[in-house]
Amino acid sequence: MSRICLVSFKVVCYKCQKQLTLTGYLMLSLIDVGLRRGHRWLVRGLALQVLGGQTWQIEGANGAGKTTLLRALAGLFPLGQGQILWRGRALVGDGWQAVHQEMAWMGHTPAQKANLDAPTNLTMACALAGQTVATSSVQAALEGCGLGRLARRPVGQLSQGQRRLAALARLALPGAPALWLLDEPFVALDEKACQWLQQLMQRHVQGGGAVVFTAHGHVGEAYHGLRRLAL
Amino acid sequence: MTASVVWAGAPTRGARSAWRALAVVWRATMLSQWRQRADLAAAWCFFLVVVALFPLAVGPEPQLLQRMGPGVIWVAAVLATLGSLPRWFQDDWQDGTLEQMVLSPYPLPLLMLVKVATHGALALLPLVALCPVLALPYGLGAEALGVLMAGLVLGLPVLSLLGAVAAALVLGVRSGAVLLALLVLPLTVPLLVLGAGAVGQPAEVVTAHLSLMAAMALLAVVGLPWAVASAVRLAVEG
Repeated sequence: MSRICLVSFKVVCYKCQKQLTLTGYLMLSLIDVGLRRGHRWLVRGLALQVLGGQTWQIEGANGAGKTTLLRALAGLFPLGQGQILWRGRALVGDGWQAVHQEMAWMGHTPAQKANLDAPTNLTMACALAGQTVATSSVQAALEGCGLGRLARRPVGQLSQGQRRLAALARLALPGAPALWLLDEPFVALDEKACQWLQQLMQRHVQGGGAVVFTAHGHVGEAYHGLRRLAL
Repeated sequence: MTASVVWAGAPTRGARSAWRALAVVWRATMLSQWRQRADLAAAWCFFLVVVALFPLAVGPEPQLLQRMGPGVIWVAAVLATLGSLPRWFQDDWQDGTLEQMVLSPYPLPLLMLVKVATHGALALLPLVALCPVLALPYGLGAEALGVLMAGLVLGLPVLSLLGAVAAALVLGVRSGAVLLALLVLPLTVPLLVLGAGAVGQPAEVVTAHLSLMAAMALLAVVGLPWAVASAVRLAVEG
């Protein structure tokens, strides 16, 4: 329980100069973060607080560093400057282990073996993430996103969108981690699947979790309480 | 906000869940590789054909063949191993599985060891199993064959792990397979000398050679998974 870090702090909106009070469970804090590729700085001096109950969309043009920033949040890209805190503690060396236990990462490739079926892929993804799941809940999650019928086929035979959906079904399983980092989750999804994912994200956030995702355009106009970070 | 209270204390993951996770990864990797068994069979056939070609090229001189046999089989096994290994990492790297492994709460070296073990079971054990057939054209006796196979069983895991370090290092490099061979082949010299050299020697020499190889195998199993893990981290964080 020592990990709980309920914070409440006041910020001033830079547009309207109004004072706001933010309260939530502290998750990620970025302090003066800078990322660079070679000699070029993609991001410099970025400060961000991700609290439980928040959804952040990282947006920006192609090559602006959306994916790189998300990878840095997951510990997959070294910081050029600054630091990242997890629940108020600096992440150095083995500290990442603690984050990884409570974090779900979905890269732009769905991390699936093309010749295995969706339930096997899901079970493997969950096992790797340290999440134990029952076979019945795997089936239920796949049915929830509309893949129940196709579950026996190797995912290599599914379409791009269906493969992505099969990977995202992991988030619908019981015991999903608190922080979701999703790279371009809406790409290749049809309208129904987009709605399913949005509902999933909103339910997660309402329960106190946090979601950070990258997307180009204005995905999720209907999304209540979406915060945008433009790079 | 009850849910967040549950999350706030991260679930404890004991040793049992780690074993279960490793077992799941083992099963899924074995299944996935087995479904691409045409690729596996290519490595087995390569081994078979290379070893079978030598007697044809060298000519039917029983004594010469008997002396050459162990060396030829060893070199062919080394090449077949290195040929089949890059795919083990390349596929996982491209489809993002390696990322998930790096992000796993379980120790990466352990996951890598499981991965290399699947390679050993599917790509290397069949090579050892083929040896009795391949000993025929070289006229190797039962005793020589036994020593040869024992040497291969001890030596191939070392080779597999060394190859895994190199395969992880060359991830994303064009013509990585050639680079892999250049990196690993010089390191296989002690294995070749000890393994092929043990065949047809007196019992005490055989024991000495095999003990040294066993020591190398143990050292490799304990030490090299960490090297593989570091190389994989480098590749994923690049």
